[in-house]
Amino acid sequence: MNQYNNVKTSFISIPENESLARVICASFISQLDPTIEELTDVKTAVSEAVTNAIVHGYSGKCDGMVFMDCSIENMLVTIEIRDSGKGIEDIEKAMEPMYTSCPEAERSGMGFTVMETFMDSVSVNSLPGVGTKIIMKKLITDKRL
Amino acid sequence: MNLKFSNEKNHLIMKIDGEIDHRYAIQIRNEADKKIVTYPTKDFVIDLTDVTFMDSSGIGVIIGRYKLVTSFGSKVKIVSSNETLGKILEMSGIEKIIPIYTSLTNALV
Repeated sequence: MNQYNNVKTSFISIPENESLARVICASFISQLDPTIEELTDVKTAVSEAVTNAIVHGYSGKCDGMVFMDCSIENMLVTIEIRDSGKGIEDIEKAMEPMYTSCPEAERSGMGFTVMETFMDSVSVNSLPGVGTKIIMKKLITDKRL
Repeated sequence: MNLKFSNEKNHLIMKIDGEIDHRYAIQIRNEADKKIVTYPTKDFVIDLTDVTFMDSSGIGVIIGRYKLVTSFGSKVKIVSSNETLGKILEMSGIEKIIPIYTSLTNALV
């Protein structure tokens, strides 16, 4: 049986919506009966990606929109987080562990490292002045097997 | 997220309940720094026992407090017995600079 489901949501770029995004994703993937660790992994990666959009994409401005697209296909979770913010000039540098574009804000520079560690794959597309799209995938263990 | 501060055995203890993300990290930083500068000679304990979620914003706020507390010559300790946080604490490598204790009692020794 090929099971497919999708939910699309968008919200303004305020920090209050970081927890909203986590809850939406966690609720959506709960139909796959993930382990607590898998659920925490996905929530953490979503939190990092949404925070990136708010803090970096929109530089803390509250009038941007963050778009989140979650889908499941059988046991594969795909989450796309997109913003129309300032974009990333050098993706390779941004993804280096401990790199942060705003050290004064006490960002740990670990956002992309967390996403890569907690998800199976992460891809980043970004165009300066246009925005950033992060696509993350994770295969949830099928407990029926 | 809820923050409670207490003093015990020459330690300033900050107990955090709930979730730590970018939004709450700002609040933790502001409230913690006020207490730290009030008690600069006390070692600072960050009790994460009842934290239900933490992303890298939490790591950033811990490292920031570490820099402030150690600038006064005091030490920082983390309390966490929480499996949910184990993975992010481990991947951050924070234990190389800040000891992690499984209980508050052990941290205060």
